[in-house]
Amino acid sequence: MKNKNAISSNQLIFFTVASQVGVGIIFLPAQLAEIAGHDGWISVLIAGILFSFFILIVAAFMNRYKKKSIVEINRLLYGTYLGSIINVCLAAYTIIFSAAILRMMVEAMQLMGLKYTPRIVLTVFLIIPSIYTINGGLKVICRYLHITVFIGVILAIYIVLILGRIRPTYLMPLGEAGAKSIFNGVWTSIFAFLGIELIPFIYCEVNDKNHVVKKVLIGNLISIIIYISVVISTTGLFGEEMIKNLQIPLLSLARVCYSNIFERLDLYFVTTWVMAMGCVLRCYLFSGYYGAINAFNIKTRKWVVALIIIVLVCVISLEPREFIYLKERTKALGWIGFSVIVFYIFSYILSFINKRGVSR
Amino acid sequence: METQESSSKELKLSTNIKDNMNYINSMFNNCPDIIRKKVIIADSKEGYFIYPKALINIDVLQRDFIKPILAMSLEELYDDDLVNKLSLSEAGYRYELNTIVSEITDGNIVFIFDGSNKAISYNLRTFESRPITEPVVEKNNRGPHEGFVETLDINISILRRKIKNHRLKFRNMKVGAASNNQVAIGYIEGIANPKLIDDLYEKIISIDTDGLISLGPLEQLMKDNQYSPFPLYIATERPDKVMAGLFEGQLVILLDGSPVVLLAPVSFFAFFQALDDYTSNWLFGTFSRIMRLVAGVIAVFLPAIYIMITSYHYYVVPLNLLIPLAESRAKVPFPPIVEALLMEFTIEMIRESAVRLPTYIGGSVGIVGGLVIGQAAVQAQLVSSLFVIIVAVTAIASYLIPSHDMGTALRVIRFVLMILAAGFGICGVTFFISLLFAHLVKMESLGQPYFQPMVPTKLKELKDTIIRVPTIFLKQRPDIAKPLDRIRGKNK
Repeated sequence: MKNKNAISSNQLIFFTVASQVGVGIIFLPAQLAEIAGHDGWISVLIAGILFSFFILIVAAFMNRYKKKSIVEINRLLYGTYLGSIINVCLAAYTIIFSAAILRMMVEAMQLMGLKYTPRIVLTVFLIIPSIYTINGGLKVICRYLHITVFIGVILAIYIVLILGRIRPTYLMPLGEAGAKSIFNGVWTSIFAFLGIELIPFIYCEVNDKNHVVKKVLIGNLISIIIYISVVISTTGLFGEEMIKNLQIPLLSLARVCYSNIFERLDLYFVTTWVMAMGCVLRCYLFSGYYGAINAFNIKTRKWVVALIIIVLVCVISLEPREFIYLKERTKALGWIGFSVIVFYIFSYILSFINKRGVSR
Repeated sequence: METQESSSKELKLSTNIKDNMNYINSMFNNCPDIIRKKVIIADSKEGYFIYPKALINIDVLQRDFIKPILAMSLEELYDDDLVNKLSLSEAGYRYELNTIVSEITDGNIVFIFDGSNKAISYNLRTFESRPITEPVVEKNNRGPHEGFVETLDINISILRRKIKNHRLKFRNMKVGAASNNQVAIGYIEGIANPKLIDDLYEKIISIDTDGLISLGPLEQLMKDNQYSPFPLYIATERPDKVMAGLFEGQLVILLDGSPVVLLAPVSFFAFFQALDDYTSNWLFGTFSRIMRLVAGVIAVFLPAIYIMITSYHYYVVPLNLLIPLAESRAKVPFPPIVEALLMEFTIEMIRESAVRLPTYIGGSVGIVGGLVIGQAAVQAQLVSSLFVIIVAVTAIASYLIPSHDMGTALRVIRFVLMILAAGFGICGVTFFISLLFAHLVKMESLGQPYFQPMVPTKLKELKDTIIRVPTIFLKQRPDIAKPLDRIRGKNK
């Protein structure tokens, strides 16, 4: 029987880009303008390079256990009880993160004209394609993530359309914000690069493990390029002062685009971005589901677990009353996500002391 | 029930003719078309020629089979080398009663006689078949004008005539507990992947059904994703198309009684390709392919975009177009979805009636339909004039798809999209695109990803997908059928 979760390392590039870019990019330019002014892109670059090191460490950690998922590794490293608690926490994190993404998608839909449609309807409506994809396993998810190429092309077209209106003087002089501000910007940017904490969940399903590091690094590099392009183009277009007042600079970028044939190009852009967020949702939702069935060692009736997770995600996503609360939650999740990566680094160090299950 | 159980066992022929005939008679009870001709052979022993009356050539039977048998001595008849002494090309010994019964129903003549525990089976099938003509639904400009017919043997001979190579093989099997339909898998040894052949063989042999009325049910029973509207096998009547498929390592499924054959494995994009893409200049081929793919997108999305814009997002229409659009919609009493469903449903009814009716009436249906849609509906202010253009363009676009199955699939999903666009505007369209894409990447044709070479991306394969590069650059066979020999030609 075919393993429907087996993927190639090439597919990992799509997984990395899709899990990193879809959500982090939404608020990043405004947050960076607040902290690092027009030098935000330098912070992004530094954060991206920093994340490349994290990737190397996480990959080295996973490589010590080869065919084991993070769930099994935690049990080996921390014992059955503590390991299980950690696993449940990790699954809970991915589920809560999924809920936040789903809510963002609902907000985007409401922005597109469905103001009066109940949120619950939109929530169910938006999660259906993700359920369908996840049902096909990791292989289908990674195939689906090829859509990021199309999304990338759309983003590039929008940037090209406003290219002539970018003022290089808005980005000058370089480094004016100062080292401290740029360093603070790195902290903010780090949250945008989250997504690689999911790699240990699926690492055991990658066929050619020798290429994992290279492919994840390529994915990370693509994410860096996308982030820098967006930050530079939005800052260069609006200027750092104006961008601070924009709720979602990426959407504003699409709003100023103009074409002779089509009007209101932002509508198509939001549509495309909902799909990008859908990609992130699939990555987190699958990791949550996969983590949960492994954490509880479920072999049969996996659909019950899937159903519980879907209901949980839907309910949690409906909880924040206003967009501002959602923004706060995303920030908190960013910290948790970063803590997960720190936890992986700690586990890596621990794996040299407790060598149970380490591949020779 | 009892008969089924007994037929499933291997029943050996007895040396007693009465026992054998009792069994055969019980099997062919109430079968007046099955002749059981009794003869007295040498030494006054009984013998029987059993055959289906309408399926054989009586003259040849009497001249080449009955007459020499009657002239033989008993010693000659019992000789183990008897079949080689008769001037029969396709004769052989059979030792099981159930095999004999099965061969008689296939159209063979069986001879059994007293004292022998073996039967002689001779293939003398000569039944009427349709002449080879050009397929009605698959026309082309520069390719050959012959099509498959209903007879399996003739279809195999057509392929054999085109591919004069001993490596062209056919694997036969029977499907259908009641009908025993003969099915053959054709492939070129050394190019086709043996694993795929085995997979397909297992898939077909495991089908449990009474019988196959045509290739459609076989296709549906073989399909992994039963609920998908998209075809997973290319159905064609064209031997040249099959030939091209075989050269790419694909497998062909032939069913006795069907002029349509199936090709597998195939990708989604194969349904937008036609033989003329290869018989004409590469530039024209590329242009035609791009046109068909754009037509596919139009066929699915255009009415939904109209509904979406007129219902929710009128602000995306440029001002110069918005005014005439508003004017044309102003007098229409229905919401856009009702207007769209009314027109699209009418178009589908016209199409269906044109298919069912004879050609000379079908033409007049087209005229009536054209008048109703083009003129009367607008004058009666049932629909806007702009939407008539949209309906017409959509209809033409959907007929541009070379595969009937794919064309139908696109037309059906269009209705789903229209309803979603009416309910949720661009959000509904986004939802649909997302679900459609997920569905397409999830599907597999004979275990191979359906949406390749786009997903999973195979850059080298793209040269013969949306575009068609000059033939000189098509040296490699496509990867979808996982051919054993990747390079076309002698590999020099």
